Order: sequence, then structure tokens, then C-alpha cells
Amino acid sequence: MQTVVQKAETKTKPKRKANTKWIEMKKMKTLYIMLAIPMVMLFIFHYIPMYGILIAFKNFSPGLGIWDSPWNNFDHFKRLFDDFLFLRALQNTVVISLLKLIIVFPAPIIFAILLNEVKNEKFKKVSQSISYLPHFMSWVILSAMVIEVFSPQRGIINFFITLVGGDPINFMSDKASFIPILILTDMWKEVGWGAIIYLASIASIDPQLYEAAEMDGAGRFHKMIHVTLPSIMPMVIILFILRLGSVLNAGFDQILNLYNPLVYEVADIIDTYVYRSGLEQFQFDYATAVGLFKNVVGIILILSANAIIRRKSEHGIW
Amino acid sequence: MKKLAKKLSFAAISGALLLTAACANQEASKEEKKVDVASLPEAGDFSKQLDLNLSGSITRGKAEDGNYVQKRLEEQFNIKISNTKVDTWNADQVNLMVASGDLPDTFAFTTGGKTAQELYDSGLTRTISKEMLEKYAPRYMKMLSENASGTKRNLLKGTENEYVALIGQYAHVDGLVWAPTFRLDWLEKLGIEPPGEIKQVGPSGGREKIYYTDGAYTLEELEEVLKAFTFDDPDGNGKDDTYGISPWNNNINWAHTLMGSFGIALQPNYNLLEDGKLVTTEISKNYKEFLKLMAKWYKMGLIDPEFTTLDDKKSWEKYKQGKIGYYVAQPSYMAMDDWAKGRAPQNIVENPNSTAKVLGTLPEIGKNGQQGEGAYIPVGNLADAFYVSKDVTDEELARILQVFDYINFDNEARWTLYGEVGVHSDWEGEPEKSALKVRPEFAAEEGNSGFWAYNFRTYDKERVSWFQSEYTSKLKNELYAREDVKEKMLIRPYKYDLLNETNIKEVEKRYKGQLDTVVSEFRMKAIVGEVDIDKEWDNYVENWKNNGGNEVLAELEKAPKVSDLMKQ
Repeated sequence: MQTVVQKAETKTKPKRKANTKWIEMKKMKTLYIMLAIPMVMLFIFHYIPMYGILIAFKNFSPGLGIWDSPWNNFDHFKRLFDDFLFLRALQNTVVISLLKLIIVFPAPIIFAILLNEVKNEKFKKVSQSISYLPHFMSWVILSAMVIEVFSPQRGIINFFITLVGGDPINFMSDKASFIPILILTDMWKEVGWGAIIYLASIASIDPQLYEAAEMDGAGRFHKMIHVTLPSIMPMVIILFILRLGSVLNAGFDQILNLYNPLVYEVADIIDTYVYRSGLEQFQFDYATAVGLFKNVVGIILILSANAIIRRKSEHGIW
Repeated sequence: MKKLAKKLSFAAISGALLLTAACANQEASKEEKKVDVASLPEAGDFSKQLDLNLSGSITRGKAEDGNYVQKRLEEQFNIKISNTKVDTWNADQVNLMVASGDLPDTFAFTTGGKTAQELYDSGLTRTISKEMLEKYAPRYMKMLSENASGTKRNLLKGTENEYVALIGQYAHVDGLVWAPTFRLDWLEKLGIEPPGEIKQVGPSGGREKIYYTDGAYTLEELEEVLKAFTFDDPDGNGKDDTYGISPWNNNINWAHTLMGSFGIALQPNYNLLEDGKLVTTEISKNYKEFLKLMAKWYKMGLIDPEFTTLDDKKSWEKYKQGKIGYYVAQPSYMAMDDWAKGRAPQNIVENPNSTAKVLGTLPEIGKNGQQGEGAYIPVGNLADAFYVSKDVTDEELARILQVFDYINFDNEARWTLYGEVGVHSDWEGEPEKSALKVRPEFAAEEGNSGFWAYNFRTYDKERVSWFQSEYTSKLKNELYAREDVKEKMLIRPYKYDLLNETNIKEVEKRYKGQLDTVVSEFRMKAIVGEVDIDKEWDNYVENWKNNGGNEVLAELEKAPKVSDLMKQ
């Protein structure tokens, strides 16, 4: 008799579990409705358009639509790797992106840690606000400023060079100086804005950790190294992995507004090249193939970096 | 729960695919049905009201609903017009509109888009039969018949009476489009004689400081002038801060007349016979010589080194600072037409206190007497394209053609561009001999007036006179579009695909990005001396050929000779 009851209980358990979940969901229906709105938006604007990826494999004809346009036997992808200008652009993209990753990525972290050490609140706020400003200006405006600053005739840098008897240098048309300018101006534009997330992360560190470190005799530098830095490390790792995912995005707006044919050799990246040869020439299918290629590389890099980091530490995205 | 999530994701993706597949357009029928013109209403029969979504060549998507022109056209042709909100001057907007397939009933693009044949092949446009044009657009057909090969332009491949687009008349680009100009006050200060007799462009408003002459310097003389402009302190400020010439980096317009002195023109697909072989300008020996001269001038310091970072608009600003002596200009710039305000070289005299003076000459003369520039339209006087969407019915097309014929080819329809003279606009100078100016209370284009909103870019000489100042007309008539000047100085390609007999447009589109990159990179490097032109030339030509140049040449070979086309 007991066994029969037990069996009956076992049978009804999942049903009861499902019912409980349903009751819980009903209780929190407002929250679920709130969740549903971004989910629907995400679905409409991020998943439905993915259907358009198909044109990367087709000769897209607007009149025929995506589905009826003819397949082209991977012609766009073959074209990518047959084109030495694309391969040059790919190489430039990777180089510029890696340089930005190595030099620009740590800058907001250092800036946030240093700003955290500033005791004068007023100075701290003013410094923060000034550092955000360039972020809100587009590259169209900033590029004009950058070109003026580096102008061989009116630029302040060349003014000092000529003052000490040197010849003016056309920095913006010089392959050797163009990439450092890209890196520096990118850092200048984004360092303040990028530091916000780290400042928020630093603000959430338990003050007891600092007190404990002080009791152990740690000075400000040691607290910075042994408390602040390890505490924000999970955030640094997550942002690093996400940044790796966009390694084939080397800064389209910035480069398009600053470059010229004399520096194509080092500065023509995938996006600028595809803009000139794909989008401007109405080759949306080709441009989509390039975009797909970039995204596939990006996702591979994210997954690999995440896997490696997970193996070495407990941090990571998944 | 995991299973549920999986099922939900699967359902969501399937749903998305089904939904979007359902939204995708069906394959467009390429079979054109024969139009039964007899069954359509007579020309002038507007008894049935029709709804039309119209867009023109000048449209920037700013026509307000219920504007003046719209109301009058609606009344005159018994139509209800929907205005298009797309900026046809913006390549990104145009390309997206075409890619979406959601097009107005009529449209033309200032930039972007596709070729007429491509639009038709993509199922986005319909054809227009010759029979319908004869019945509903007789003025247009008359214009076609008066132009060489006019009735053969834009024919659907394989047909003799179906057009994939309508074409425009370009009287406004007649003659030389670009001319060299010099700082006349600098020439005078340096004691350099201007070539020929000089005349003032106009009596006031800054035009009294702009002069023109039918003389021209030779290349050697020009080099001496540029040297004096650069090294002899022409602005008298005691500093070595002036330059002979300031090019720009985003196009090659600055060099049209300079290349003309080598007998070449760097415009899309311009080609010539060299040692019996067909070559395009950018791989020709004359182009190589042109580059060598520019490299020499750069090395001598005659060219402003900052040009590598300046586009044409920044270059105008640079010129305005008064440090450049030589600049190319269109006749309208020299005549200070409103639309050209702010452009060099007129911007140097705009300020009433300016003491600068400018002199326009004919193109410089090369070593072998070559002089001129590439003709804006290689053969004839017709250009541009006006399309009709695939969704337009025969009945609607009949009405559209009548509207089109009236507003673009009947000069009584001047009100569609300027309203009524004395009410909406006034003559700038002598009535019927000067340009029309729209009064400030009305929008000069689109807006509340609707002027230019539905028109196509097509102008006969009379229409040109409505927007071209009398001073531009004078410059053109007396110099830049004079018959002897046109005959001697317009450089035309050896071959040209006037009647769409080759795949040159498709090939060009496929390879243009690559070829432009190769050409512009080499040009800049050659001029600033980063490459040795003689040493690198063969590599450059090979590179150009391997990046689509061979395909371009193969298509050009199939095209007819321009000399033959000109005889027709």
C-alpha cells in the first residue's frame, strides 16, 4: 500500500513543480511583462534581420528580394581572399586593433585607479568631466581639430618644431606617424568615458578590505595594487573579452575622417575599404559577406578567450 | 526548462525566417507585356483622378504636403500627389531606398543608385514604350530626335522601342567646365604680363575684381608664374608663406586643364590609342608624364604640401586665406553665381574690402600644343536618367508622361521652378536675359513652394538662362563655350559605350573601389615623391590591370569609336 502511495507521489511531483513555477510566474507577472518588452524588441531588431545574412551568399537583387535572389557559389568570399587590397586592409585592421587593445584598453583602468586616489573631490569631478567631453563629439568634428593641430603650416606641434629650427612635418600624410596619431587620439577621446565603469566598480569595493590592508601596513600604492586592482579584475576581464570580439573593428569613423591615400598602406582597414568598394558601389551583398566574416572571427575570438580565461581563473563571460 | 528554452528558440527563429520569407518580394516578371496604347485615354483626357507618388532629380525629401506646385499640378492633371521624403542627393539614403525596393512612382538620383539596366533587371522599374512617348510626351520625343542617337539611348537590350529610362538634355554643361585662374593682383605686383586682353566679368558685387581673357600660358610659362607666386613674396608680407598651386585629395578636378595640356582627361573610362593599343588615361604614357611634372613641381615647392590632407571644401577655405596663386574654377564661380558662393576663387573677392583680383584664362598649352580638358559628356548633349517604378500601371504612366513632358519640356511650365515672375520670383537683372531669383518668403527649392520638387534635371538653353546669371552666360558665350573653343579644346575618349552595348557599367561597379584605390594611392605617392615614377610605373600598371583593369579594357574594346558616334 505504501509503495502505491509513494509511486503516486512520484508521479504527481513534476506536475506540482510545474504548477508552482506557474504560480510563481503569475505572482511576478509585472516583472515578466517588463522583461517581455525588451525581449520582443531584441527579437524584432536583432534576430529577424539576421535573415538578411543570406545575401552574403547571393547576388542580391532588390526587385527579387532576399529569398529569390540567386545563390552565387560563395563568390563574395572568394573575391575577398583573391583581392590583395582586402588582405592588406585585413592586416591593417588587425594591427591597429591590437595596438589599440594593448595601449588604449589599459588607459581607462589606469585613469580610473589614479582618479580614485585623488582626495580633492572638486578637482576629481572637474577632471572627470573634462575627460568625458571628447567622447560626446563626433569624429567629423574631432578630425578637423586633429588635422589642424598636426597641420604643417598652422599646427601647434609644427610651430614648436620650426621654433627650434626644424622643418615642418606633414604628420597626417606620414605612414610612420599616422598610426601613433590614431592611437593617441582614440585614447584621448575615450579614456574618460571608458573609466566610468571602472570607477563604478572601484566604488563598490568593500572599505573593510582597505582597512584590513592598512592594518597590515599597506601604503596607498600597495592598496592600489593588492586591493583595488584585484577587485576590479572581473570587470577588466569581461570587457577585455568583449573587446576581443570586435578586434576587426578598428575605428571606422575615426579613420575615414582622418586618412588620405598616402596612408592607405597602413591605415586602410576592412571597413573603410568595404565602404569605398562595397557600399558606395551599391554592393550590399559583398559588404554583408565582409560583415559576416568579421562577426565569425569576432565570435571565435570571444569564445576562445573566454575558454582560456575560464581555464586559468574563475572569471569570464560564461 | 532547458528543453523548453530550446523549443522556444527554435520556434522563434523559424517564425522569424517564415515571417521574413513571406515579406520577401516575389520574383519580378521580366516579361514586358505589350502596351495597348489605343485602349488608354487620349492625351489631355484627365477625367479619372489618379494617385501618384512623384519624386524628381533635385528632390531632397523636403517638399511640404500641399505646396504651391503640387496644388497646381493636381488641379491641372487631376492627380493626387504624394511627396517623397528621401534625399536623392544622399548616396546612403538612395542606396537603402533602392535596396528596400520601396520606390516612388517616378524617381531620379543625383547620387548613388544603380544603372538603368540594373534597375530594370532587378525588377524595380518598368519600361516605357516609344508609342506611349509619342502619344503622351511629344516634346520629349522631339528633343530626342534632335540629338545624335537620341532615340537609341536607354533602349532595353534587344529591343528597339522599349526604354528603361528617360534621358535629360544637359545644355548647362556645354563647353569647358573648368578653367585656370590666377591671382591677378599678384601677377601685377610681380610684373608678369597676363596672356591676352583682359576684361571684367561684371561691374559690381565683387565681379569687378574678376577678369577673363582668351589667352593662355604655356606649361613653361605657367611654371615660371608658379615659381614667382611661391618665392617672390607676392602678398608682400615679407614671409615665405605662399604657394603656386593647392590641389586637393578627394577628386582630380584640380588637374583637368593641366592634364588637358598632355592631351588626356581623367574621367571614368576615358581612353585613348597609344602605340596602336587601347589604354585608359590612368595607365597612359601621357598620364605618367603629367605625374612627373607634378612631382617636379612638388619637389620645387610650388605645390602646397598640405594638399594631401585637404578635400575640395577645405581647399576653398585655404584659398580664401590668400596664400595660393593658381586655382581652377567653373565659369559660374568666376561669375559669382549664388549657388557657387564660398567656393574658390570667388571667395577671395567676396569681402567688399578685399583688394584681391582674379583672372580666368583658357587652359594652359602643352609642349605639343595640346590644350583643353575632358568633355563633361563624351558624346552629344544627353545625360542622366529618370525612372518609372515597376508598380506603375499603363494608365498611370500615360498621366505621368504628360506631367513629365509638360514640366520638363514646355517652357510655359517655368512656374514649376520659379513660380510666377513678380509674385514668387524676380529677374536678377534685365528681364528674360538674367537669372531668376525666388523671393525670400518662398522656398527656393521644395518646401512650401514645391519648386524643382518634381522636375527632372533637363535643360535646354532657355531653361539654363533662368538659373545661370547673365555673367556666367557672358563668360560661356564669349569664351568657355565658344564654338571654336569647344571644337579645339574638348577632349573626347577614343571609345565610348553610348548605347549600352557592353557590360562596362557592371564591370566598373564591380572593380571601381579597387581601381580607385590603386590609382589615387599611386598618384599621391608619385606627386609627393614617395615613389620613383619611372621605376614603379610598370608595377603600377600591372597592379591596375590585375585589379579589374583588364576587365575594363576588354569591355572598352567592344565599344564603338567616338568618332563614329559623332558622325551619327
